[in-house]
Amino acid sequence: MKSPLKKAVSYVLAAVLVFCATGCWDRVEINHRFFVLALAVDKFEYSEAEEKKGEEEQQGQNGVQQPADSRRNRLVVSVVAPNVGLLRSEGAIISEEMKFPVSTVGPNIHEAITQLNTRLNGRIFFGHVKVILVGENLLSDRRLFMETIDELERDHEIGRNIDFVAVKGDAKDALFIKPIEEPIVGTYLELVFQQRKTGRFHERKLGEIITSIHEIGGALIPRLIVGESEFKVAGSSVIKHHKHLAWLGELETRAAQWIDGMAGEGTVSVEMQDIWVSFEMTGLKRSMEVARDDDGNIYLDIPITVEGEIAGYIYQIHRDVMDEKFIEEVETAIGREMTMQCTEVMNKIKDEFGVDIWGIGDHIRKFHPEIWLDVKDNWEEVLPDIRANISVLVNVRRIGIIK
Amino acid sequence: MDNQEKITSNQLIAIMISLLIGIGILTLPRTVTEEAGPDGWLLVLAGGIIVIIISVVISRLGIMFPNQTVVEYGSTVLSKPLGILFSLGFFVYFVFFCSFEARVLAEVTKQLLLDRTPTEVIVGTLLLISTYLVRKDLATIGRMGEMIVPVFIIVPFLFLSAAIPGMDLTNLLPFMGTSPVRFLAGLGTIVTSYLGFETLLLFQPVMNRPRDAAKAMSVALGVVTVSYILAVIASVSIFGVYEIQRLTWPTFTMFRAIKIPGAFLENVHGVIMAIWVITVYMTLSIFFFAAVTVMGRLVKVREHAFTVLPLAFIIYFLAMVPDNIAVLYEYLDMFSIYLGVPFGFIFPLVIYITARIRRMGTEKKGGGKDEKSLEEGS
Repeated sequence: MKSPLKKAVSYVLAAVLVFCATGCWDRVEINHRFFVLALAVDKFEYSEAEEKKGEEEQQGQNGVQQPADSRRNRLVVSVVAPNVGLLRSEGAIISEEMKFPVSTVGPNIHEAITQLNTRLNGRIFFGHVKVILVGENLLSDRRLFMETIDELERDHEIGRNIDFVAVKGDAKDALFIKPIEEPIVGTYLELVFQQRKTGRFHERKLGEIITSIHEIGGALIPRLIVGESEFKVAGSSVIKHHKHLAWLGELETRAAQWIDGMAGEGTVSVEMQDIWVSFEMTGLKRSMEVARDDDGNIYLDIPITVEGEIAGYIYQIHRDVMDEKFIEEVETAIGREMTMQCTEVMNKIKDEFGVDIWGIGDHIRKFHPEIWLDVKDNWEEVLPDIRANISVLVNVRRIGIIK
Repeated sequence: MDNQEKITSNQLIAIMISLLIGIGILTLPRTVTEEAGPDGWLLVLAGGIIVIIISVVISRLGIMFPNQTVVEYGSTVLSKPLGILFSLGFFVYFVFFCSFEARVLAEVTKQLLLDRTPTEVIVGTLLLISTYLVRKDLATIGRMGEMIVPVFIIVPFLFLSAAIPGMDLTNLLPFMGTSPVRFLAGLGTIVTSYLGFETLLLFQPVMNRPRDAAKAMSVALGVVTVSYILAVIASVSIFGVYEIQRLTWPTFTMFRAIKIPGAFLENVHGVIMAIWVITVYMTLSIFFFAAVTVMGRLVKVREHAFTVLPLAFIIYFLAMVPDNIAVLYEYLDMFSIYLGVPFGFIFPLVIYITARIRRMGTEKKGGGKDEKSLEEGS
């Protein structure tokens, strides 16, 4: 057998092991976590009227400081978390509320979150954030917007595959309203993005948007419009030189996505001899051809091929839809309409705004490195001079279940 | 130590794969992209080929001096004082490598997983568990490797397949756009990602069939090269050549960007993190074992187990030296270039060439006249 000393040592080691192998510094009970589903960031703008209004709103929370006009108060950060207690509504007394939205001001997101942590009974956790909303005013402030994006990308809890939307107005509002369908804007938006392929918002995730902003200083961010009790995701914000430049309407956004080879599931309507024909797209393909002539002019050719079916015409009084000639006419008309929309948005974004959201420069760098070598240093001046030609080829494959 | 259990070829393959895949794979996509842009994966391929060649040379040494490690034949070939100096250098090199592995693991887990656990505890527990494995012999490590390697080869690539729709392979264009000078300069950096293969200098005599070493090394390095290339291609095609250069650990961030469709797991990076921690644990343990082996062979002890724990303390304190992550990676770069390249690439070649010039070893092929010993050798 072992000597008493050895025995003693092994007992001590076993005792040490108990302390070493149990417990964990980072253990947090699930009900002590505040699972943020949506994070809204706005620029703080001081106004006395708002301060008064704020006081009234927050009467229930005594001792909460009202935001003052201080150098430190730069951002309004709001988060919303579901009432996890409701999911197993038994036992403890729990609040009836479906969600807990809270908001505070601070110099940056993380400091604001620390402040929120002093008010909440749980630790704020970003690992399940579904959507990040930024207000219009923040987007227009280059410096604050860049700070915000850096903080979002640097934080390891926030994933890159979450949604990122620009809110017309204050992003905070989106968290506080009570929508009809789904109480929390985070999960609501996630479902909107997943299921409704309307093409009317730019389907890009946080990671892709940030990458685009880093690479070209610009991007399209989906726009969220907040109503009384509902949301709408439509249109987009054009970012140039790291800040908001202009809003893009729904149809323009859709056309911009066609040029990008996305949004192949929308509906296009066109008027043919006083009768509206609607065409439902089922697929869209796009390619990009770049060529340079001897004078150094760069030509960009974007052929788009679309497939789909006729979804509506007019009942019996006009022509037979199941007719090759008629289908050809529809194809031409839809093609013309789409080409027009695309060309318009191409002119607006490429020439007027000068933002390379379609990665034209990227395409040239990848497929024509010799051209890129010449233009990369003054790409911004070159971009509007590129002669773009968009052509849409429409294939109507089906006409629905009546002739 | 000569009476320890022998390892099979498969175990050597498992040891090498789990040894080479460690802290390097996290930053690899970034470093190769910084060096060669979209051609980074070609750099990885070229590096892999170079390393396979060197490891074949090392395996020749093992055949020339059967049942000897570099500690013994180093002294024979280079003269005793030089040989001892060289072995001591090897020891220091392995110890440093261990502490880098431990510290990088601590930094990564602290950043991504264990926010509030002290670095000291992460490094300490890792080293203690490692000590447990290193006290045993190489065959034990080999069996451990055989169990683990399939998991950490298959699982990450299964997850990665979920990211295929989000990959844009045109990000790898333009093909061969890097200037040859820059490519060659990058080669110097990339080969350090393969460091660890030089432990063959120590492990070959423990094989039951040392002659198979070259074949086993080629398989292992082939697997590692393919894994590296896939990691680079996947992350470059997901992030693009510009964004990837901003990411500290692109390989992890890539898994952060993956969403498995319809899975109950929202974030797969937890699983990846767990697997990666095991690979680093294996890397650390094998380097640790290599350090212990060099020491044991040098002072000719029969049993190496008692040296393990004191060495763990040294590794621990070395791991605590860098102040922050920037300093850590700076030290790691310096280490790879000033210690890694000499011990991994230059010294084995020097020994081999000297041995050939001095016509040492059992398999004298110099001049091709000694057919008898050639037959014995084959």
